[in-house]
Amino acid sequence: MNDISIKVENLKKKFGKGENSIEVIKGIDFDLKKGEMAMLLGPSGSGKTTLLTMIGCILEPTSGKMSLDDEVIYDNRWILKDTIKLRREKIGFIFQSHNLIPFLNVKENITLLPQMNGVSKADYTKKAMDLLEYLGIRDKAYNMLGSLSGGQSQRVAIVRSLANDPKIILADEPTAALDKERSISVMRLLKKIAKDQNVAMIVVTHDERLLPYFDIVLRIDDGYLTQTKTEDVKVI
Amino acid sequence: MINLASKDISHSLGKFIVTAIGVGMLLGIVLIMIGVYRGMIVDAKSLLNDINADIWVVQQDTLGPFAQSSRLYEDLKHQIISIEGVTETAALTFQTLQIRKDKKMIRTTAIGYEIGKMGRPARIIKGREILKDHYEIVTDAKLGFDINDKIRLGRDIYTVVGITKGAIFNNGEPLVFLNLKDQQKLQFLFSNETIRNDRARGINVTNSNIVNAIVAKVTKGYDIKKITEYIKRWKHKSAYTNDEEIVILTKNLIEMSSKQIGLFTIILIIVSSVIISLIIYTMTIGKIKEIAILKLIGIPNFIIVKMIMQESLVLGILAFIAGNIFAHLIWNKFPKNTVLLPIDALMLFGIVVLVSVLGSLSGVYRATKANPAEAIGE
Repeated sequence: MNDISIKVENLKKKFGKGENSIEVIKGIDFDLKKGEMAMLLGPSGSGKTTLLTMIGCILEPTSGKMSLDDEVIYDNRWILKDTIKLRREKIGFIFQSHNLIPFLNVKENITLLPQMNGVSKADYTKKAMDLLEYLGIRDKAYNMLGSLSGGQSQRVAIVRSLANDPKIILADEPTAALDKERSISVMRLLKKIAKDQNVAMIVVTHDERLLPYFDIVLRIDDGYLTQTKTEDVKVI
Repeated sequence: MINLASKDISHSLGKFIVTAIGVGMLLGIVLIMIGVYRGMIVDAKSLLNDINADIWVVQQDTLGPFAQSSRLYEDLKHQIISIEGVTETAALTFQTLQIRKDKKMIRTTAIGYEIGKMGRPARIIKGREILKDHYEIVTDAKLGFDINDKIRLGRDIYTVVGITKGAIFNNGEPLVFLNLKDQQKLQFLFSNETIRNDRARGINVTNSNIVNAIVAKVTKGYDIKKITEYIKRWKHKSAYTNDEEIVILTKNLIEMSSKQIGLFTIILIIVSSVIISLIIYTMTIGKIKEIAILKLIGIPNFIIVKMIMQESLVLGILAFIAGNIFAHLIWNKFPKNTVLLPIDALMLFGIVVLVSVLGSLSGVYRATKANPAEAIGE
């Protein structure tokens, strides 16, 4: 047992075969402690989403080693077979698009995973309502998604990612659809959750105003990654 | 645990119900087709059941009187009644007629029977049986005549004295009933000009005491089969038990039609199956992004498979209910007898359930192959 939540060693990803293959991730190493928040930066097409989907066990790497929450899940092949269960129990996702289920209402979207994980109705309902309250959309709990604005939908998506008490949260521009005030509110919430519940977070964002909320900056460029502590980063 | 299928259905309820009604109409046609087939069997047996004879005696080496032409002398009935165990005999004639009703010609079959004997009209709903020797007729309600209406048949005019309900020949056509003497005259007696012409040629054919079949009733306790065999040997006639006559009617007369309807029904069931499969597949493709999201956040495949299968089953069951309602709304609009039986509906229900499960497999396959990464990005 150690306090490393995400450990990535020489991780590579190649698309295609033979001469036409393209190596998008060219050997990445980094680690992220429990409770730490990492800001993932990089130009468009640099491999940010590819890296995020590999850590989220959605995309299989070509080679390398990856451990999540003290468990080796990939070592040149999947070691952990049930990656769906891993995602359900340990990983929360927040994406640019809210990616909610349109035929479920707000509360049902949020409580779907806790229900699958066997959490009692009283507990998951209370937690969902508390989180909705915190993000200012408690009154929308029984609304269908069609009646929500883009910003409200994104806040629901954030609540859903927190509802299963994840050990790792992977977020792809989670505040892109929110105003400055809500963005700061969300970052404070994520920071609080990261610290209180020892959750490691990787957040893709281009909003450098949010830099103070992160512990580490991961900069990816042309398939290579550099890891810097936030206090060492110079904002340009 | 949230039931995803019910949530998805209620989210697009109108579209789902309209789809189910569409498929249901197709299933309704399947039920009607089965009903038409059942109706043919019922029609084929209807007259036999009404006459309720034990033995049918017809011309030697024929399958008469329904499957083949058959001619016998009427007096054969006196020889048959003398056989031990035979309690009643009756002579019957059958003839296809075109009769005029207002300005329309209607096709019908006339039965000539002896007053008070086997072959007399069953289920008279208005008027009475034939009581006079000549020029009275009983018609089925489907022909549209009323009591005291006049009908010209051959050289004579007949008065309608009774109306029956559901009196049909084996091909489903409504029946008319005539006194045997009248019917024999109508069927076997030539016109005066023909008789004179035949006489000049040395032919004398004025005997109209010919019938198409003699039917017999056997006393309880006597072996109908043995008496039938005895008639075959002793009288040199063809004789059939009522059960054999039913087989002749259902196998020989309507076999081709029933095969055609059976094949058409099978094709309709296959078409319905393909349509249900396509609908389920299209419904699955329509929410492939949602399925990808569910997989992305960690919902196991079996929950997604369950959702697709439940939706497919609900669609099938709703379509089956709609099909039943549709079939029961239109079944009596068909000119031929259509018989809807619960056992056929039950059989179709089984097929629909099976088809819904099998039909959902293509959707299930597509869903299990859905890549969670499809949910990421626009």
